Amino acid sequence: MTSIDKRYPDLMGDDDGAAPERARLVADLDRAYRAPAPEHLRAAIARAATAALPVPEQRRRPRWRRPTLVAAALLAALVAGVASANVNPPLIDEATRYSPAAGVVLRQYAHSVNVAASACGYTLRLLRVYADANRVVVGYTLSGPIGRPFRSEGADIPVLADARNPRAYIENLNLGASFGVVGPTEGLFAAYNAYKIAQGARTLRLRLTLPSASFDEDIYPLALGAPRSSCETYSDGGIRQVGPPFPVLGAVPALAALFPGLTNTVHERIVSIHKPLSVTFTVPVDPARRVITPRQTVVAGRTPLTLDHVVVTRSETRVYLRRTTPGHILEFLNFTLYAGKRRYNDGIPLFHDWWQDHAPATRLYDFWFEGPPYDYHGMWTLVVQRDPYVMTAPSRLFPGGPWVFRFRVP
Amino acid sequence: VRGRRPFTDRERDILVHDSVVIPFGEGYGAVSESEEDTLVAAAREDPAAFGALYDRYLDRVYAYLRARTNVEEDAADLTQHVFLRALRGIHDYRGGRDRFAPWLFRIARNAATDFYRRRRDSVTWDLVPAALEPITEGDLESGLLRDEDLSRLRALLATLDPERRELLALRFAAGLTIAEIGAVVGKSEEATRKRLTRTIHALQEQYHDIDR
Repeated sequence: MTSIDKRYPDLMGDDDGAAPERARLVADLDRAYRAPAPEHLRAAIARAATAALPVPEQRRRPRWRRPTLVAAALLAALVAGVASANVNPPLIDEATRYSPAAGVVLRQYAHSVNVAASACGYTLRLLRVYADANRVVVGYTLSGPIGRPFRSEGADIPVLADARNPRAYIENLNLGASFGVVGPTEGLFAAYNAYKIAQGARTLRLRLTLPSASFDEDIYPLALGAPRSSCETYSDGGIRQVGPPFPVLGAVPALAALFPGLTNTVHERIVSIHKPLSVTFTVPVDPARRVITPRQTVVAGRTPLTLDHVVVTRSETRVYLRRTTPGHILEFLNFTLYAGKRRYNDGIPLFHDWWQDHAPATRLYDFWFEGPPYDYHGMWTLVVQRDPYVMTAPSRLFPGGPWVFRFRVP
Repeated sequence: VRGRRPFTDRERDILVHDSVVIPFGEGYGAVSESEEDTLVAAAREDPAAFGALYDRYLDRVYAYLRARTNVEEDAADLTQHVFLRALRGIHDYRGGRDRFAPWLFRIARNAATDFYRRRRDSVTWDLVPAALEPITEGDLESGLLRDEDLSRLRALLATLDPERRELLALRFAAGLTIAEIGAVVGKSEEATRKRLTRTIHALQEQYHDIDR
């Protein structure tokens, strides 16, 4: 067997009697796509990554597998009444734990709805919705059949679209989930870019669709088989160690496969449901919006950059920068926003459809910050500077900087 | 809940050396899948441990991005961008069934897509890179013949739609398995397998026809 055979066994079909030609094609594809990284790149990334360390960022999302957290979530759900409606809002709150801005709007400003779609014993239930000029945020739960020992590894990204035009997808910006499927309900939230749909609208009619979902399910004991449903598809999830191996029996791998309980392991299967779950809903657009138009141009290092306008809503602050020099794009830049003494890092660039629609013709680029409070009034400062950790040829960087913009938010 | 086994001596050697941040890119590439799980877990706790993962994936990420850009410098810059983004986002990586490779290549794919959209005026999608390596096998004549074959193959690839080229780039340049490719592009393993197999089959017929 050649190295190509070993690397691409799945592509070496011989059912059509053309195995030699297939092998030759695969080998040529392998060669055509071969491109070893240049040595200088290895060194450049090494320096950049080392310079970027340490990165003592606060953990923003759940550590899914930490036993104490999952156990605490399970206990809390059991105490509260496993599948009752009362447990759902806390589950959604839990989902936004590491996206506090989404949590604030879902708790304080969102509208309660209760629309659901079910298939095969699985239910998508939309509970809270919020919309403003920057984004749409939805809080929902996903439930599996009662009595099944699920663990969630995260559902698929739900698709949000204009209800009148279901093919007009709205860009997803953020996701979050609670600590696994609990009894058997999981809380989730998702945020979407409202720029294209919310300008001037008072209400939005939208459709949320979960194309499919999958879970890990413990199978115990494997030797007795596991129930199957025609609605579901299954794949092997492997063996999971749930504690220290038991003496003697735990040392025998074959026993772990057949009798996981004897070895302190469980066998998992991945359960997938491919029937889409859709709900349609109406949400009013929060009129709370402040648009500041500094039209402020700062020249730093002989390079001008213009802060065109800023849109502040309850869900986020979005800044719009205009490049005025040709030939460069706003990449590898760091953004820091100061609202009074509060500091917000990492303006996250909106790419995707936004770039496609607006750049480079208008040279207008936008970056969003979660967190700056809508109710904060006074001087705000936006600092834009080159990412010091990206090492590339100077000719390829946006030259100049740092650019410091100050503007008053009334 | 999945526990993490203690580090082996080898992993400790990889991760820590006298409490000094380990040097990146110094030959820690040959690690197994199970070792990778441990390395990922360690990198989530301590970004200094990211070096071993970086070493393991640098060539694959670069090759993939090289297939998505037509300028070497673009691929190099994007590769830096991808690894720095991964380093900063390693805490967000959820692990488990979502393996590290698909997670990393989703970052790479998004970076390439964003890059292309911003520079669509000057960049065409996915021109398979011209042969970057000098001919070292066989004699000059056979080497030239092979180069002719590759040129014809690239011409064929250029006729494919972007989705099929993406699958090929993820399989051959990134070296992902079909299941991993499915995770990157958001399709089931079976659907990915069918799509890729059909693409290979169609390419084979055309490649064969050219030879006749």
